[in-house]
Amino acid sequence: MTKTYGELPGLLSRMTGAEKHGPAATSTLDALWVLYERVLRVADPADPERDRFLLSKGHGPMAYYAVLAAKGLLPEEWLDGFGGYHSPLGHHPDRMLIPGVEIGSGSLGHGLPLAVGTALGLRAQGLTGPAVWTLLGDAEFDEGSNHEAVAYAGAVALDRLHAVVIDNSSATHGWPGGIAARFAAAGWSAVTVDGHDHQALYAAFTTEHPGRPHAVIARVEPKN
Amino acid sequence: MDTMRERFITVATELLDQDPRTALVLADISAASLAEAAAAHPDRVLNVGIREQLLIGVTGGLALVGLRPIAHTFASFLIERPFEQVKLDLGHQGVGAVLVSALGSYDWPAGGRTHMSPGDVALLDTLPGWTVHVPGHPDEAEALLRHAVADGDRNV
Repeated sequence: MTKTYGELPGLLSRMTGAEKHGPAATSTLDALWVLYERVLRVADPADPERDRFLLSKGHGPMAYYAVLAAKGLLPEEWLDGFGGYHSPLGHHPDRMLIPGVEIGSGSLGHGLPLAVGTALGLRAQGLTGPAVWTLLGDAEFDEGSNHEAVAYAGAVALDRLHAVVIDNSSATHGWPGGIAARFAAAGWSAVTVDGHDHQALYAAFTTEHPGRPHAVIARVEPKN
Repeated sequence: MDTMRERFITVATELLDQDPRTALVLADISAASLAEAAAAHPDRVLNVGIREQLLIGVTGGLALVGLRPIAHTFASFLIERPFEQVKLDLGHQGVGAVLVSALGSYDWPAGGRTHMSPGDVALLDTLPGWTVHVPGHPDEAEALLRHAVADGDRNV
């Protein structure tokens, strides 16, 4: 029942009415696909041992919904009603409405702090297997809450924590020196890759990072 | 007699010993008094530093994986400063926590305007599903704390 990468455009086209968020949706598509196809162990959303993926950049969720549908984590038929009054698939994902969605997001700067707490909570229960992932945008990185989380996670060596930053150069004042440097300065492992190159993304996602949280900066075409 | 803040430290330490689901998240305030509890339960007593957005974000994350977190700092920095985190990282995620201030909304007048939180109770009343208690005596604070921590996954 799962689908291939080549079938994602067909799934995306079933969600009309999100033109506003179109570019935001496609900038994340390749990173999301590689994560769900090759990295995350999330087949059973009720399994406490599953990996956790927290979509922090909640706007432009079409790629996320398409990938979840492709992996059988949400019913494909739901895509047709995207954004509709009765649809569980809103313009920002809601964990209370969609199975397989770990957090409700939309307001920026919440996913990484929640991911830090998730990783700490799993560790406190002796669940050292699950990896915790969150995905944010380079403009979202402006939010100060992210910097509280980056500093703390690095300081306490939260090595089950992973952050993916989709960098489409949309932060108004930019990140001089690069986003990876901000993570690295706080003690994270950090790499920057082509956000559309599946093999490069996979290599970056699976890089060993003993004793440190790990950040992958996925560069995609500039928004403007 | 001890103060409400001292009683909180005594009872929270005991609850951490008794129930492996209990976790305590701090933003430096009271951390020195809870050093013993932190040494006994390093994975469940978490001091994030002076970072109140993260205080509540981490609390939400702990609740998402099934723990019963208590978040604690001065009243003025517990609700008013990270109010969006209270709104979204707990309520909007459908999870619950116990938020306990060190001192009440006006308990340190000499601290001045920065350490008063005239709007905290009113702000919580704008959110669905919250129970707000304003104790005035250590015995009252203890009973309310024990009940709140034992109250399933509700927001208190």
